[in-house]
Amino acid sequence: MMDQHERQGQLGALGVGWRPQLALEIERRQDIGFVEIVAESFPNGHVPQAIMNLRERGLPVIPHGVGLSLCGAQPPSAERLALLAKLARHCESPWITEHLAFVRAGGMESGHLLPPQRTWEALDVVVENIERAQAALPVPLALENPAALFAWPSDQLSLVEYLTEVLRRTGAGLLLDISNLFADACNYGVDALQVLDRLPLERVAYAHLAGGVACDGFYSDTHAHPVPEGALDLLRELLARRPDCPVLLERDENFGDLASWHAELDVVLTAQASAHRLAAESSGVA
Amino acid sequence: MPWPFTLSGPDFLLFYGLAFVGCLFAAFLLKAMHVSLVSEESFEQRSELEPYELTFLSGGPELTLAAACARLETNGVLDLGRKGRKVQATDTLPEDAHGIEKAIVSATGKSGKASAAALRLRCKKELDRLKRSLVRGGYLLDPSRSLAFQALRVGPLVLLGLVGVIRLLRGLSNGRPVLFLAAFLVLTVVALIFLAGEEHTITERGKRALRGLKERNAALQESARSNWSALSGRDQIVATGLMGTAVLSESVLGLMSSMRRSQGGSGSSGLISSCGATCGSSCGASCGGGGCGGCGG
Repeated sequence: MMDQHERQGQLGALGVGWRPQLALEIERRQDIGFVEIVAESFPNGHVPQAIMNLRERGLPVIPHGVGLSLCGAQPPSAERLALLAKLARHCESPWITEHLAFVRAGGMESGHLLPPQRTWEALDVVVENIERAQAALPVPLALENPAALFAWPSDQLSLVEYLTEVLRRTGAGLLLDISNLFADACNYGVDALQVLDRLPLERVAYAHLAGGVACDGFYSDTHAHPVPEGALDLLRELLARRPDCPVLLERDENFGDLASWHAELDVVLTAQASAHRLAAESSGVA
Repeated sequence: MPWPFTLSGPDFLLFYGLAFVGCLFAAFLLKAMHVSLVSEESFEQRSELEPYELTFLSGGPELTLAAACARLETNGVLDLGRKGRKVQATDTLPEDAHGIEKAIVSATGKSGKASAAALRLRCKKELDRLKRSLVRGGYLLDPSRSLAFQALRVGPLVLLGLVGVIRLLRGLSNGRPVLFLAAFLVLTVVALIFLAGEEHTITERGKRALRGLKERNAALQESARSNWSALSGRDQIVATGLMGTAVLSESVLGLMSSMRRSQGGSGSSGLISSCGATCGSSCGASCGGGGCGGCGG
C-alpha cells in the first residue's frame, strides 16, 4: 500500500479546482499537475468526459467533498461516503478531501461550512466521525481547515492544537488552506506563521489557495476575487518550509477574466520555483 | 390487366402495404450498405477537420452559415437584428477572415444588407468548396454517386406509387371504395419526400470523425455550455459544429429558420439535433456564466 509520501508524490506541483467554465483552459494548460472536483457536483458518481480525458492524460483527480459535516454531532452519512468512494474508484484518486467543518444540525442545513467547536469533548466526536469515514473510503482522507465565519466562545484549543490533535489521532492527511488561514489571521488575529511552524507539514497532502475580499472589516474567502498579497506571502512561507508542497488554486466565480486566473497560476509556479531554488541553495546542491 | 391489378381490393391493399414496407426497408438497407461500402475506399488523408468543415459535416450549409454569421455578429461585423431575417454589415472584416465569412459580408453588397435566401445563394461557391473537401476526405458521399443511389432507393417506391395511382383511378371510374388506397398513396408521397429530401449523406468515416471530435473536445463543450463568451472565435465555431444549434443565439436561430423557409422547408439540417427556438433564447451570447445545460449538446 502506498504511504503518504508516495501519495503526495503522485500529485503534480500545480493543481486547479475543476469547473465547467474552466474546462477548456485546464485542458490546454500543460503545466497543471492535478485537479480537484467537488464531489456533490456529480451525484451519480460519474464524471464528465472532459475530466476522464484529463485522467487519461495522467492527471490525478481528487474528489473534494463539501457536505460530509465531519464536525457535526451526527455520524457522516453513508450515502455521502458512498459517493466519495465511488468517485475515488472511478477516477483512481490518490486522496479524498473534506472539511473540518459542520454543515447541518438539528435537521437544518447551514448552506455554508461552519467552524468546529475546538473543545476536547467535541474533538472526540469529530475523531469518531473521521474514523467512520476513513473506514468507508478506499483511499486516504485529507482534512481541510475552514475559514471561521465566527468564533466559538468555549474553544479550549487553538487552531494549530486542534489540527495537530486531529491529525495525530486519526492519521489523516491535511489539506492546508492557506487562504482560510489568512482569513483567520485577518479576522481573529491567528498567528499564521506560528501555525505553519507548529503544524506537522509533512502531513500536508496539498495546499489550497483562493481569492477573497474584505468587506466591513471582515475578510471573506470568496473564491471569486483576486488572491491578496497577504495570502501569497503566506503561501511563500509555507513553501519555504515545504518546497515540494503541491498547491491548488480555487476559483468558483468570475470566469470572464481568464487572464487573471492564468496569471495567478503563474504566480504560484513562480513561488514554487523560487522555494525549490532557495532550498537547493541552502542545502548546497549545485 | 396484368397482376397486381387483377387482385381483389383487400388483397391489393395487403400487397401494397407489404410492398410499401419492403421498399422502405430496402431504401434504408441500401443507404447503410452504400455508406459502409464507400467508407472502405481510400481517401485523402486528413489529420483534422477545419472548423467550418466540421459545421458542414454535422449540420450542412445552414449550420455553417449560421456559425459564420454568429462569429461575425460576435465580432461586430454583422447585425442580424432580433429575429435574424435580414443580415446587415456594420463593420469591416478582419484580414484573417475565412472564405465563408468573406462571402457572407460580400453577399450584403453595396447596400450592406442581404436576406437569408440571398445569403445562401451567394455563399454557394464557398459552401460547395467545403462540401468537395469533405467528399475528397471521405466524410461525405460523392453527390454524383449519391444521385445514382438515390434513384435506386426511391425508384421502387415511385413504381409502387404509380401502380397505386393506376389502381386508384380504376377504382374511382368503377365506383369502388378507394379511401384506404388513397391513405396509402399519401403515405407513399410522404416517404418519397423524406427519402429524396436528404441533402448530404455522411459516411461511416464521417460519423467516426464526428464521434472522435466530440470525445476529444469534451472540455470545449463544457466551457461552451457554461462560459461561451470566454471562447475564442475559432472555438465557438468548433463548438457549434459539435453541439449544433443549442449554442446559437436567438437571432442566429431566426436566420436559420429564414434560410429553411427560403428553401421551401426542405432538406435535412444535418445530424445534430437542435433545441430550436425554445433553446435559442437562453443560449448562445446570452448564456454567459449561466450555461446552456438544459439544452443538451
